[in-house]
Parts: sequence; C-alpha cells; structure tokens
Amino acid sequence: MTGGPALVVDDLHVEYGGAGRVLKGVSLRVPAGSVVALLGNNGAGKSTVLRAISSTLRLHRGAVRQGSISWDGKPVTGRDAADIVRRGIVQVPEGRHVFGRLTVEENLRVGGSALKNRGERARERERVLTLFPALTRKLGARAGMLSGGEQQMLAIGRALMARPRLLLLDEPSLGLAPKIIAGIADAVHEINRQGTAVLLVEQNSAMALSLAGTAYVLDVGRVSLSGRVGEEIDAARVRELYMGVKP
Amino acid sequence: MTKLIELLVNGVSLGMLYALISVGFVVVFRSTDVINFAQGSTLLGGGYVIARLSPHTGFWLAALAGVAATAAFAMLVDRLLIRPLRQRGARHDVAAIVTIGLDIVLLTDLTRRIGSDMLHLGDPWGNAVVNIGPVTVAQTRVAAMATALVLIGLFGLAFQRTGWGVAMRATAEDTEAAMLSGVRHNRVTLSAWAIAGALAAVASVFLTASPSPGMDAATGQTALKAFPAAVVGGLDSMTGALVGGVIMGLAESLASGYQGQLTFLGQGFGSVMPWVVMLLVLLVKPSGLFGTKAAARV
Repeated sequence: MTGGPALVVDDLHVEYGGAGRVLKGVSLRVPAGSVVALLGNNGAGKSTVLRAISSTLRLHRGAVRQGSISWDGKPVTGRDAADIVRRGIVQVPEGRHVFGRLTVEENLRVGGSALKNRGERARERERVLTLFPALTRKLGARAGMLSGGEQQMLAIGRALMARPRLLLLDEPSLGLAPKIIAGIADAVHEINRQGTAVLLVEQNSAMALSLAGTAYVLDVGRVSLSGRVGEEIDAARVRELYMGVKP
Repeated sequence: MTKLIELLVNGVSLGMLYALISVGFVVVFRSTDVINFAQGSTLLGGGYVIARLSPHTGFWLAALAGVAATAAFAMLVDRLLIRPLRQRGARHDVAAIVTIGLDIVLLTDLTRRIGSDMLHLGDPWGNAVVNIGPVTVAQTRVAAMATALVLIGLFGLAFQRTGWGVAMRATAEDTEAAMLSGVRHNRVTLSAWAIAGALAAVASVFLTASPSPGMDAATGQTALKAFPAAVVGGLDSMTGALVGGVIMGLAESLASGYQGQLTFLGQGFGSVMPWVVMLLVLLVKPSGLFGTKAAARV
C-alpha cells in the first residue's frame, strides 16, 4: 500500500508500580493512512497501549517491562513524550483534557508547540477551523466553558495543530450525544482522508467499526481477536464475545 | 500622619520584594507542583556572590553575575535533584522535602562562609533618602519598588502573551495534556527554576540595602517571609503572589512601626506578623485569596 510510516507494537508488556501486568504481550500494527480500531471493555488496557505509545506511562507510575514500539522503522519506546509528538504521533487523551482556563485560541497555540514557525502554525490553525467551524466563534472563550462536543472538537483540533501522521484517539465518543458522536466520526473520517492514520480506542464499537478497516479486541491485557472489519470482525461478533451482549 | 504614610510606603516596598520572591515560589509550584523551600538559602547565595564580587567588579557587574549564577544554580537543582525524582514517579511532597534538605546544606555552608560578618552588596543608593513634603523614604525603597514593579510587569506580560507563557500555563493546568501537545516539560521547569533563582538574587540586593544593616546569615530567614505571602495569594496565582506580598509587607511594617502602642504583643512582633496574617487568611479561605486548586476540584 502506501509507503508512509507505520506503527508497530510488538509483544508489549506494561506494569503499574509493580502491581501486576496490565498488558501481557500486546502486538498490533497501524499501517500508514489506515484507521485501526482498538476495542475492549473498561480495564482491558486500551488506554495503557496509548500511554505506552505516547510515552506518558511514567506520569501514571507505569513502565514498559518487555516488548517494543517502533514508528517508521525506528524504535521509539520510552522516548520523551514531546519527542514522540515531533515525530508525528499525537494523542487525544480520554476525557478530552482541554486546558479549561486557557482560551480556545491558546489551546490551539499550545497544540502547535511542536511546529517550528508562525507560518506553519497559522496554516494548521486554518485547517483545524475549516474542519471544526464551530470553534471559530469561540476562539476567545475559555475552553472550560465549551460544551462536551465542542471540547472534543477542540481536543482533536489541538492535536491536529502538531500536524500528526498518526492520531491516537482515546474514547472520543465518551459522554456525548449520538448526534454529536456522528459529527466527531465524520471529522475523524475527513482527517483520515487527508492522509493521517488513526488508532481509535473505543468502547463504542459501532462507531469505531464504522470507521476502521482493521480492528483489535483487547481482553485483560491480551489481544483476543483481530482482523479486517467485515471479514474476521464485525459488530455482532464483537458484541457477542466481548461486550457481553447476545445478538 | 507622616509616620503612617512612611510606614505604608515602606510596607509596600518591602511587600514588593516579598512579591518578587513569592513569584519564584509560584512559578516553580505551577510548573512542577513542588514547593521550593530552598528559596531562602538560594537568595542568600545570590547575595553572597554579589557581595564578594562587587568590591572587584563594581556593583552592576556583580549584580548581573550574581543573578546569572543564582539562576544557573536553580536550574542545576531542577536538573540534578528534582527532574530525576519526577522521572521516577516520586511524589511532589518528596521533592519538597528534598528542597528542605538542600536548604539546610546550603544555609550551613553559607553561614560558615559568612561567619559573623555583615556583608555589603555595594549598591549605589547608599543611605540617600527621598523627601516628598514631610515624608522621608530611603532611596533604596523607591528603587526596590520600581524594580519589582517592572520585573513583575514584564513577567506577567510574558506569561499572558508569549508562547512560553501559554506553555507554562498549560503545564500548570494539566501537565500530561501539555506533554501530549508537544510542550517540552523539562524546558518549562528549567525556565521556571531559572526565573525563581534570578528573582531571589534581585530581591537579595534590596533586602540587604540601607536601611537594612547589610547581609548576614539570617537574611535567608527574612526571605522565608515571602512564603506566607505566596500561600496567602494561593500558591498558584501570579496576582496572588503580588497581592500577598504587599499584604505581608504592610502587615510587617505597620506592626513594627506601631510596636510602641502594641507592647502587649511583646517585642519584635512585626517579624511574626506575616505568619499570623497567613493563618488568619487560611482559616477563612483555605485555598488562599487567588488560589484555584481547591476550586478546580469541585
């Protein structure tokens, strides 16, 4: 397929403060330009995979005990988080985590920290505001005053400011109304269409499977099912096996 | 009346110095969540460098070198002591206790060096005074006020407007999200420590200039009075640091000035006053006057 960078996670083991392994040998692959879904129940270790990739495990007293993560053919395990961003992997954390006391404009400015000059930042800002026109009217407002849907747009927009080649999205549908979720899904589709690969972590498997070409299901720290969406994996099977719902 | 005005002017001037030091507390606390108890001895160290250099190089060059050396020293503290703790996931209070240890070591060494000397930093103002009508104020107090105002103003502007300031505020609010946005956390904390160190050195010049008798080993303790100022302001607010500093300066100045009428409180109550004010404010507002930590958790 395309010759861009791919993310390869190989046999990843992660521990938090010696309290047992949360990940016990997770391997997955995000090819350039693809959308990959990472599904599983609460506590399966989905966010831990993203923390390991973004190198923020340390902030949660966690560490990679075994295995490796490589990006574009180079090992990136344990690098500085800001360095991972500069290499093109940017995460939108679960619960959005916008800077509530900063304005929307300032949030976007922080998102552009990795860019070298003003011109680049202005160009990315333009792209973000085209994707999320609703933010344009709120640029001067404090991010804490936005609605949940707007905060999710801002969190994604802030990540896009760093011009990612791989976007890690952690539960973007969490706590949002179905109509808003559809809007977020459209935005993710558009971001991918413009050439950014997406690793989408979700409990909401319907939304994730509507976007992803490939999916992995995580069950207590291991990949229990993976494959192409519509072939090895479909919504009914995921629900039946791992969400505890009979079709 | 004249006395009251003089006390108010002196109090505000002293308060601005406390504000300078407490901005140092605040900027370090906001970026690292660490309370830097070594601020007092850092200030003493800055003053010591200036005092030793100024007979050879003249005051201005010595002051410049002292400020630079103190900033560099504070950056080393972050790099060699605080960052390794942070990277191993140590709790913030552990780092705070490390700064207490550092403070004791520094203070012991500086006390040994200074001995019973009274050091003079060689500032150009001497004991000149400014007369405005019947009110007499030491020139150093006016210079202190002007310098503190300019520095805090510049700092506040940079904090609000520059990319550095936005990154600093983002880090203060949500360190992980800032790192995920590409903010280089280690650089942010280094800059915070450097600023805290530099401001402490500047404060040392004015705290020890006339009408103070000079710098001795106890000057570090004077500097510690900026701590209640920072706490009263809320520890994470720049405005709070400024307001808290001025409140402390005024409280101390008035309590000392009217000591004659306050004999029931005993001698030297002025220097205890900042701590009393701190306790009173905290009883009413536990997060300080401008603090946001408590409010953010609701």
